[in-house]
Amino acid sequence: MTALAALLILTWLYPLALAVAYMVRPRTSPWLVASAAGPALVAALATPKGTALELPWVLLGARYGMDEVAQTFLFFTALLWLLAALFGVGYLAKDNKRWRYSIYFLLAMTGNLGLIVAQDMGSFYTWYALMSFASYGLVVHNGDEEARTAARVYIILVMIGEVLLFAGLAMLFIASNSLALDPAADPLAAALIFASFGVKAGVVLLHVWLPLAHPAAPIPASAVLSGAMIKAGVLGWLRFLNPVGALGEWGGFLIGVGLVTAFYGALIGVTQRNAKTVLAYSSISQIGLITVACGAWLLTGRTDQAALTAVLLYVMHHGLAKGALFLGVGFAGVNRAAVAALLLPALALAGFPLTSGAVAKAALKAATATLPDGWPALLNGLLPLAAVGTTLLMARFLWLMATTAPQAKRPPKVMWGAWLALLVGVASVLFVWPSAGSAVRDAFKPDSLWVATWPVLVGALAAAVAPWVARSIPWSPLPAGDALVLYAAAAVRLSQALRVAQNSIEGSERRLVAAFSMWRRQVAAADLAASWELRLRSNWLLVGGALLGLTLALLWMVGAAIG
Amino acid sequence: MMGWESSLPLLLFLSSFAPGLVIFFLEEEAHTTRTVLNLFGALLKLALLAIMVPGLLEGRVYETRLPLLPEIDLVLRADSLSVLFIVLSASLWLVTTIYAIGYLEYSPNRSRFFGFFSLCVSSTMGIALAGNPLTFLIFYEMLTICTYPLVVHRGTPQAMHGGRVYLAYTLSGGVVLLIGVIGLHVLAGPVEFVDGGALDAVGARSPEALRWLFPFFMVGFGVKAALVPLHGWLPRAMVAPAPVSALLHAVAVVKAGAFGIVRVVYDLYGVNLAHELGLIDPLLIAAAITIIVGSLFALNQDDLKKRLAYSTVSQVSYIILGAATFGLFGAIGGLLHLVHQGVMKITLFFCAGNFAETLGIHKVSEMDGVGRRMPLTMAAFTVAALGMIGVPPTAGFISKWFLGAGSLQAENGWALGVLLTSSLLNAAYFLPILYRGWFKPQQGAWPEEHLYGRMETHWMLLFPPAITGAFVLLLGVLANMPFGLLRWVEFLILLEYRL
Repeated sequence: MTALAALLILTWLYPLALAVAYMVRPRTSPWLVASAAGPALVAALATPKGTALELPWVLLGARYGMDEVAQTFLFFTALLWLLAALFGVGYLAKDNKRWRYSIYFLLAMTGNLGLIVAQDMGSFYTWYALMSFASYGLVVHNGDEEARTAARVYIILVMIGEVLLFAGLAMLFIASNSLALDPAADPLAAALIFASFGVKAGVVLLHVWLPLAHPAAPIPASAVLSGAMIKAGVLGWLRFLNPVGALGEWGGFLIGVGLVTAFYGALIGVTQRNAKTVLAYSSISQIGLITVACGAWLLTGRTDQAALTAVLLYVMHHGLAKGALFLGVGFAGVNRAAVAALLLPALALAGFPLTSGAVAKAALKAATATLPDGWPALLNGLLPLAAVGTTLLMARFLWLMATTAPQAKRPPKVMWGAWLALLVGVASVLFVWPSAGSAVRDAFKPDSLWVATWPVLVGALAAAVAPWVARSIPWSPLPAGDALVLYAAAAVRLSQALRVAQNSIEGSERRLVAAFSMWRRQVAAADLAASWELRLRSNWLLVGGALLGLTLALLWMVGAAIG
Repeated sequence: MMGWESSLPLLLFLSSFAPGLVIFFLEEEAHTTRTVLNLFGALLKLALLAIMVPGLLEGRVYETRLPLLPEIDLVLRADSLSVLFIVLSASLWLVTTIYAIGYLEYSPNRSRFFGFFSLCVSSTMGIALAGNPLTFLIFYEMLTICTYPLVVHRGTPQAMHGGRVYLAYTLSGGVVLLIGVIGLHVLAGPVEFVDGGALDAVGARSPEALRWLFPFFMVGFGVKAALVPLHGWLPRAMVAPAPVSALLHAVAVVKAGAFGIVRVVYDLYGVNLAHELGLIDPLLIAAAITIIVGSLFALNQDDLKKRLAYSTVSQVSYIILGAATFGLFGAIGGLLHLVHQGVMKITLFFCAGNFAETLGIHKVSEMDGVGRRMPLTMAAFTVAALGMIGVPPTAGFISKWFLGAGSLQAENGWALGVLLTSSLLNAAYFLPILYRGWFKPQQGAWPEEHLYGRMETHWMLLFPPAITGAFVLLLGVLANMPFGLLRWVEFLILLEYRL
């Protein structure tokens, strides 16, 4: 028991220790990075649910534990980090900033793994912050104009998210007077928490950092950013929003936001010209579907396990598939077979039969079937359309990959190994995962096979005519980050106004001090007594009035003291 | 109580006062004697504290009482609040002394500098230990006078100007405080500081008079605590040498003002009375304005020390915000920040001093790539800057957490908004520094580089920020430790709230 509990600690302690080792000794073997997520992976498989450990001295009393949510998240997150690290050993072999990259990579990993096993607000918030801030180093890594802009936008959104989360958690703490992971009952706290994690997850209007940051980072970092780290936002919802009870009606809101996000991501994404940007928009679109699942979870709540299962299966499916797609970008223009192999995760994302996506979709369908009112009918109509959108996005991505100019570089074997291992994971994990059993059976039913197939066919057809449509109507692609343009304009206005206000305040204070020292010099220059007399005489009304006032005030005070 | 125990508070004061007086008469070249005296005083002070703390935990009170005026004694008393401040200043004084020796031991007028440096700390001890308002006032004014020679130490026109502005502000503040102290004496006779407040009877008799007196105390202390719009001296006083700025911003002057406000609210009026009289809400608003305005001013400063100075304006008001928030969490947050802000800000100033001494860097725009040249200093700077923003697991996060929770507890949700806006602004002026230091490549040669062998800078300049930087982390990571700071502050606040 204690050994297993210690494993929970090693989950974050081991990568943290490695990060420190790299800081102190730059020449530490780069291969060690690939082992960093090992303890977490073992913990996900070996630690039984209900294992818990208290560290009462740490922060405001820390608690770590394993539950069903943590197990699923920890497994796919650790697997993805491990393979991305392995991929990175090869990908960054000739990068002269590899040392720096390794440190930020390990710190971000520490945060991401730590927040999954954290069972109190303080620890969760700490690891969440570490992950968010350390990822800055990954986004800015390339150091070119694109990376710097992306990193700047990223860190601003991180700060906004942090601040919203702080407010939300403080409200939870005051409401429950404990640091336990108690879900919010207060609508304002829930709104703050939804928005703060929405920034991380990439919900529409809060997503603007994502299409810039994910493509800017080196490929293995993009894979974990898009595959693992944005899921921390979903985990935050699961931990801090309240299924059933006071927040029931929020479920409908989440479903609505999720649907908008799903279609918005697809629409903007198909116009993009960079393969990684297309993938980033696809992540936004998929997060929309996961948000729908979260909404269903809020609506059905604790009475129904199906919705939670759908969320968990969906994040796992998307994490692995999106990781595989991003790592695949490393082989663009190198190997035709590699591009062909990308069909597997691409079809999975679109939910094609026999893929992990079909399983996740079946789970989502089971979860939405029991929803009240007209939700099932609405979702049955719209979700296949989202799959059409995903198919278009994937077609766009594969097209961009296939038309990449041939390159002479030969990727090291370790990159191939990591990527193929991840593809195997995409093909297998969801079919053997214990809680996926009924979803797998649903996915193989004949009618669901057809439901899963036709959107992909329609999408493929649409993709085939897309070039012709694109030529015949005038259009120009939106810049990555779309709505960001509006935010930036508003921010510039605000900072200009602030600067004007500040200059005027500072100016008047400086004038005041200058006037004072001028006066002081004049006093020193003139005969002091004469000057004072002159001044008193010329301002007799003011001086006399002030003295009179002071005397009266003192008299009154004495009077008040006696009386 | 045994006789020698009643002399302990006085000894605490003398342990830096006496060395200070001796140092004035030393030859400039007497490095060793001066260093020994300095360190001896600092260590003796810590040893005295080590004797007193166990006694305090048993509930003993150490008090030195000397006759001063008819009815009024000069009272030096170590209670739980004063010990909090003394532990902070005594420990930070030790590291600052080491730092100052490394920084200034080879520049002119050392005896003058270190003499006043010791007197400055002695006055801080006096302020911490003062058991009644008059004693407080005496040491408060002594602090003003002793700090002036340190501010103008360099003797440049800019320094002289900074010093003049400093004196104009602080002496005016002192006069206002004097009126407050006299008014209180007229109203209530001789009063001493008591846990939970000493003016309940007077408050029942003449609440209006107490209401009128309160602003005098707040303005008197507010000048040193740099409450907007009384903060003008602080950014100008940053022309002082780095160790002085470190002391000024973290322990001595600014902190003395904040400590004065805490003393008046908790131990003179008593927080319950101040709340009943409606006095703390205006204070809360003043603190909130200061927090925002200070951060806004910091945004556009290119001079590193000036940016840090405006940041102090903002951060010290976190303490006042805590004192003005009615409720246990807010109060705990305020007192925690009294210590946390000190440790974080002293680290930042040590680092700024290191950049200036080692590479000649004074401006933020010159800091490109400095992380590669001075990784340890930059690491300490990073930790402290993140602490200022309130990023977990630093000390700054712990105090911000309690302040934020306290604002909600007192149903001042807007104060939480102020804290979070301040966090965003702090990020806006600290994160670009970290970006330059760690991610930008070096641009050309450093303005004025000194080499120190294998170390990135002189070891006496490197250790102090490394140690205080480590404490910024430890105070956060192990916040809940038994016998830790948080336990002490909780114990104290329960006394102040009479619970």
